[in-house]
Formats: sequence, C-alpha cells, structure tokens
Amino acid sequence: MRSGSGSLVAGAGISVLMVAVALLSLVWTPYPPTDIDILNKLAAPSVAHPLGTDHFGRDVLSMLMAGASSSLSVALIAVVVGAGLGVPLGGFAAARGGWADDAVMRACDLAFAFPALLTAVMITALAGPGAGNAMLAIGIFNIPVFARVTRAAARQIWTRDFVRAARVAGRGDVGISVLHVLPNIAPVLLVQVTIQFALAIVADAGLSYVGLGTQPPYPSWGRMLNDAQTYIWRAPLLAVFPGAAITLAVLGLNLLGDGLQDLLDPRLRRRR
Amino acid sequence: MLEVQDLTVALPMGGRFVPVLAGVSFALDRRQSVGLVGESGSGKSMTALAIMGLLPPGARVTGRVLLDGSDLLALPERDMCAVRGRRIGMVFQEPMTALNPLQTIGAQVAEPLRIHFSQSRAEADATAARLLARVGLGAVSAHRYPHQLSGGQRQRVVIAMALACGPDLLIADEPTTALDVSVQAQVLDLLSDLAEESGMGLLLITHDLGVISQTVREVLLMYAGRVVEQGPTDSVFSAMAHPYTHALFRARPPDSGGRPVAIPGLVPDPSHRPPGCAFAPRCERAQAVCAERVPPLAGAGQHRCACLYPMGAS
Repeated sequence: MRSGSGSLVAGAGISVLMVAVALLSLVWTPYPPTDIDILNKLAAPSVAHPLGTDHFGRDVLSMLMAGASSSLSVALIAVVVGAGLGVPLGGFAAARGGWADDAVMRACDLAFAFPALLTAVMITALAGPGAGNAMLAIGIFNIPVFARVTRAAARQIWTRDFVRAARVAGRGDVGISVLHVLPNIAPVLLVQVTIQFALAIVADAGLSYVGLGTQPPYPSWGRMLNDAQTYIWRAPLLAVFPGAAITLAVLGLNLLGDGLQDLLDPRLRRRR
Repeated sequence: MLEVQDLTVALPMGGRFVPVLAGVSFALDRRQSVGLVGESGSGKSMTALAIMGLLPPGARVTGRVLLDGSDLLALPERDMCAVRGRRIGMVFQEPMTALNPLQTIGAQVAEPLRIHFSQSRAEADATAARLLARVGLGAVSAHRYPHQLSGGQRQRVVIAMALACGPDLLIADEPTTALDVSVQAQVLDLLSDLAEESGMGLLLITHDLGVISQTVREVLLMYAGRVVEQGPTDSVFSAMAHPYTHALFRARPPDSGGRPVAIPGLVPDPSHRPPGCAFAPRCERAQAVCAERVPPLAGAGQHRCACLYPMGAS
C-alpha cells in the first residue's frame, strides 16, 4: 500500500465529515447559531458549550456548524459555475483548435493577469456584499482554471486514434467531445474540482473576513475569525476554532485530491 | 462507385503551401479491391484522409472524389458526417489505440448504428453482437473492454465497427502493420472475404508488397505524392516497369532467401522535392533529363508507369 491510498482515505474521511456537519446544521445545531446570550459571553469551553461562546454569547460549535454549510455551499456553487462554464469552453477550444483555441486561451491569460481575490473583492464591493455575489465572484475566477485544464487534457485525447475512429464512424465534434473526450478526462477534472473547492473555501473565508461574504447575522468562518481578532488576548480559542475548521476543510480536500490523483493515474497505480 | 480524379492536396507549412499529393486518379467498384503502396510519406494515407474529408484544417484540395457520382470534396461537413461510417468505413493501423479504453467493445461497435440508423440501445447491441460474430469474435463477450483483448482481436473489433452500417467502401490503412505476423494473414483474409460477401469496395493501404499481391486486383504505387506505376496486380508484378517498384520489390526479404537490397537515400521532404522525377536522386537508371521534368503517367492499356526510362525498355 502506498501513501496515496492513505491520503485518499484520510481526505475522503475529512471531506465526508465536513459535508455531514454542514448538512446536519441545516436541521440541527446544539443552539440556534444566531441566538444571543449576552450574560454568557466569551465563556470558556464547558459541557453546555463544548467550544465556548463568542462576544455575544453565541454558541461557537453551532456557529462553526452553520459556517460549514455556508462555506461549503459558496464553494460548491463557485466550483459548479467555474466547471460548468470552463469545461465546455476548454472543450470547445480543444475541439476546434485554430483561432477559437487562441481566442479562448488568450481570454484565460487575461483573466489570470488579474489578482483573483482582489478582483473578487472588487466585484462583491460593486455588486454588493453577500453570499450570492461571493459565489459568482469566486466562480468567475474558476472558469479560466477549468478551461485551461480541460483544454490541455482534451487536446491529448483528441490526438488519440479512437477519436479519429469515432469521426470516421460519423460523429461530429460535439458528440466526440461529450462521449469520448469527456469520460477520458474526467479523472483530471475530478482532481481539479477538489483543488478548486479548497481554494474556494479559502476565498470565501477571505471575502467574509473583510465583510463581503455571507452577511450577519448568519455566521461564516471568515467573519468569526475577524470578530475573534478583537478578543485575541481575552479569548484566544475564539480564533483557533474557525481557523482550525478552515485548515481542516482545505487539508481534507487537498488530501482527497492527492489520493484521487494517485488512484486515477495508471502510471502511479502500476508501481504499487 | 468511387472515382478519384486528379486529386491534388497541398498543406500549409511555415506560411506556404507544400504539395503532398499530385494528380492521383483511380476508380474502384463494388466487390473490387485497389491497393495503395508506398513508403512512409508517399501520400497513401493522405489519399485516404482526402477521401474521408479528414485532411488537416487549411489544406488546399483540388480534383474530384466521386462516390456514386456525388463529389465528396464539395460536401459540407454536416453531410460528410453522414457519409463517414455510413457509406465509407475505415480501419486504422493501430488497433491498440483505435478503441476507446472506457467503453465496452459492444458499445463501440454499436456506435455507428446509433449515429446513422438511430437504433435503440437494445437493437444496436443485438446488431453489434451479430457483427462481432461475423468478424470471428462470436466467443468474445461484447461486454469486454479493449484492454482485455489481444491486438488481433482488437483489429477485428475495429473492422466490425467499420462494417456496422454496411458501407459501400472500406478503407483499410495499414490494417496489419501493427499485428503479429501470424495474425496478419487472418485479418487480410477476413477483410477480403467480408468485402466479397457484402459487395463492398476495398481500398487497401500498405507498404507491404506481399500483402498487396495476395489481396487486391489493382495496385497503385506511390512515391512522394505521385502515382509512379498503376495497373492490374498480376501485370504489375509480372512486368514491373518503374525503377521504384523494382527497388521496392528488391527491398523485401526474398522468398528464396538471401538479403534484401535497401533503396539508397530517403523519400524527399515534401517542401524540398526535386523539380523533375522525385525518385531520380535515388534511381540507378536516372539520366540528366530525369531531374528536369516530371514524367507523365503513360502506357498502353491499363498498366501505366511514370518513367522516362522504364524497366524492360532498352
């Protein structure tokens, strides 16, 4: 057994846990995450509040759980937007080649020339803060990433003989792209999805840290970090928990991506 | 059925058009077979791609490719998709890579049926099973994946795919080159039997003169994008007229033992072809005039040759 399968198991475990917590928070949290209990503010961890309370006396565990659902849903939509537009664009560029390829790739270069997070801040600042705009802003920057990865992987598949065989059998560009190219590049895209998902969680935390993501009173990991900053000397644990949640989520997804890559790359698999 | 008239192809390379095929003409009827023979770079595969309308983008094509009277070169891509796989089937050199590794062989044989006859999955699967049996894979499950088959079996799957829609013409581009010698003959026999049975025309592309002599009725020898000798296989083999044909024949391992005789030099780069006969620099019989003008394809009857000093003439 190689380390690859270890990271696959660990990554999948952490990711499943995150999703489970996020789903659970939709129906149950120990306390309503927005309930203020000012008399009990900045309480240390106890049996009643396993992770303590914040400066408004809200239960930190409940907030973390609710924050997971907001973080994951922002990241999910951002990745769906990015992959949903980027994959067809990259596939189109690879299928057509020539000027279409050049146009798509130069547009991607242009998009990469902008610092992603800064531009996301600009977009949400212009369009108004909120989870929806954060999703779009992060999603837009995922489009060129997916377009590039798809094009690079698809171009390799297009040179293969079975694509020529499908063309000879009478399939057009669209049919070949969907039926023959896409299934063969799916592993690459899957790995990219885990990477972009992790980056989107960090980006969402960044946006909500500066107040442009999910809006109060609904909790988000980024704003919990920001709030905790004020009380860093009185209640350092307040900063530790959301920080740990972000780190754990990103770590889990990266491990999952690594594990998948090893699992799906036949060259690595054979060495096992 | 298929008539190729004066087919000429030039490809854009480094800002100019480089001719890769010049004045290729031949005709092929149902139940007939024609062989294209030549070294790598002689233009034989380019001829097949031109017929299929699969030349690289930007290629400049003149001449006509008539399939039952309609010019394929004039068809828009949409209509050409309806010809590929339906009217013309094609078999490739590399059976190892000509199949999608992620689909079962049954699904791949069924694909042309689903494209052209809009058959349901069940119908197409049933037809695919019959086709697999017909190419001698009756004992192999249609649910297998390409990596579970041998090279010869995969080539049979590729042939079944090409045959699926009952095409009028089958183009086989070096169908046996990548196979073990022991299965080469089987695959060739299969191809000619199938062509005979279903009344297809067979266009066989190869660099192996032995393959040609056993399989096809008419042969075209190509060199540097031109046909240098053309005629009924018997006649060409019994009285080789072009020095290139002769040299190519001597370059095979002789049946009686002894050493093959290599042809000195290389096929000229398409962008730097000599002005006269392209074979002249490698030809034992070349005279000064050979480097000056391109000899026309000429001769009495069906057996024609493009040489100013053909073999057999003094």
